[in-house]
Amino acid sequence: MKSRLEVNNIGKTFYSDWGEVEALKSISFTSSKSEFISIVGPSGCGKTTLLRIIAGLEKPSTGEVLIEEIPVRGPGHDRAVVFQDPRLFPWLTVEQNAAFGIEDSNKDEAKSKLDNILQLVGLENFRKAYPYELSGGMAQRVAIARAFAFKPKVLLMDEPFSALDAQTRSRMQMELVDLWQQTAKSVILVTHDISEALLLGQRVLIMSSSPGIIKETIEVPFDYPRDVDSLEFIKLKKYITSRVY
Amino acid sequence: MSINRNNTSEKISSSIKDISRKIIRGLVFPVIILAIWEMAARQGVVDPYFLPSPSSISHTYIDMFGSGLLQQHLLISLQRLCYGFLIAVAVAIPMGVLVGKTRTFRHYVNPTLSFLQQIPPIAWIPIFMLWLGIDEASKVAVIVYAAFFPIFLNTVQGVISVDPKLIEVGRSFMLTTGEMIRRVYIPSAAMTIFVGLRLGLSNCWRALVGAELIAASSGLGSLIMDARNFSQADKIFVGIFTIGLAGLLIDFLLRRMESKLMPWKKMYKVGGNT
Ligand SMILES: Nc1ncnc2c1ncn2[C@@H]1O[C@H](COP(=O)(O)OP(=O)(O)O)[C@@H](O)[C@H]1O
Ligand SMILES: [Mg+2]
Repeated sequence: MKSRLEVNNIGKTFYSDWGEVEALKSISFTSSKSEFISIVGPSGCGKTTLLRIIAGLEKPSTGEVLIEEIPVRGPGHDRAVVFQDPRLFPWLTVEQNAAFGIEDSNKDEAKSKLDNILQLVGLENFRKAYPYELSGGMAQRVAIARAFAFKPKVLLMDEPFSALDAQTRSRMQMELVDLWQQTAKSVILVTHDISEALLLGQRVLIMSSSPGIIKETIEVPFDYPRDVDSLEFIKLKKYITSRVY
Repeated sequence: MSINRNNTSEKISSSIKDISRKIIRGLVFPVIILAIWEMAARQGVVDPYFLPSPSSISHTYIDMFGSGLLQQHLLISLQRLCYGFLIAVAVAIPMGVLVGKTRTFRHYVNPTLSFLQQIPPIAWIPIFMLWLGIDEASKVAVIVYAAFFPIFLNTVQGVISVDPKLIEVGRSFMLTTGEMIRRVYIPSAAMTIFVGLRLGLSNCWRALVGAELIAASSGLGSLIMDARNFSQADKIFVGIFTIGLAGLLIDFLLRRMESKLMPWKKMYKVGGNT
């Protein structure tokens, strides 16, 4: 089977006036199917940098990323990014923002797709609202809808829920699992929240810093929806926590 | 669940109150000055030959309006303004986007532009007349020159200050350069560009009247000059007030257009999210 995503020996060094930072060193992993991968690690370990390299927004210093065996040279139609902040266009309404990536595609088809997606993220009543009228959680949901509407094969998310309140966050996490199960996407979710990583990912990559490496990979043995109160869950969470810090 | 809009009518009525209060406050000064002026004129403190009373000026106003003379000159001035302004917009905005987007280009053109910016439009009138004759072209050229810099410089500024995070979103959705300009740069810079448009318009209105004062046989500036040649102070004041009022009206219309075109503008006041 063709691999969906291949990250081969990625390294990244930043040069600045006050020296060099080796943000990533020999990062490798492969995903062959529509997998949900969580990446956890302490702040500054290079999670964002890794995601940006996969997205094609940043060039790696060493190694390469392959999407369905084609090397990544820049951003592409096969990937979409949900940034840590919503990054909505203030002059566009919710539905225009959500449709930002698909403006030129087939009108009717695109429109019905967009309807579905806005419904999924619970924003069908806010289509005409502008970003300044939205709460942080709603804005982030628009950003997620925008990425989904683009129909990427690989969805890259950088701590998408970190700015949300606990209640909204847990609802969004459930919605994300739903969305992912309904489509055949690969999802890479970067987070510093270990519960979140374990709640959502089929695989958890644990990173450590200076230089940023993958320290350990955990195959998560639970089915969805996961029971965060089960003993096995708590045990695994404790283990990962001990590995991260 | 939907956005709470049921207090909209309440908001509108309170904003109308706000606006009318502002207008009333803004009128306090002019009314006081006009009253003092009128009294001074009636008491014979000032010679009406030099400073006619507001009431006699308003009579002249009505006469000139009734005969159609005023509108005729006003229309000619506005027409020149229109041509000059539109040409300036068509040149300054594309150039501003280009210069704002290309740092090296900025380095090449900035010193020259700063130099040109120091020269008041009026100073170009003699040479424009020499090149373009005394007809419309030389006046329109002055207006283009006057409007160009505010529009151009604000466009550059607007494009430079586009949020790099939004540019990155555009990049991640694979926008072409053209799409990036149309869908990210221009709308981002729209507010700043509009400031430039307003400045440019008031600049060229002033430059136009200046040009008409120096060299024209029609338009509000020439109306004032004719009145001066016949020592008709009341007509001079009619011309001056018309210039001011027309300028206010133009700015008002532009601002209305701005809030129509940019309904999201409110967010900048409440500091919403990006
Ligand atoms: N553009 C950059 N220039 C210089 N250093 C950077 C840049 N981006 C990230 N870094 C450095 O790389 C390291 C990893 O950063 P980042 O990927 O943002 O970590 P994380 O997302 O895990 O918090 C940090 O030490 C950070 O300071
Ligand atoms: Mg980060």
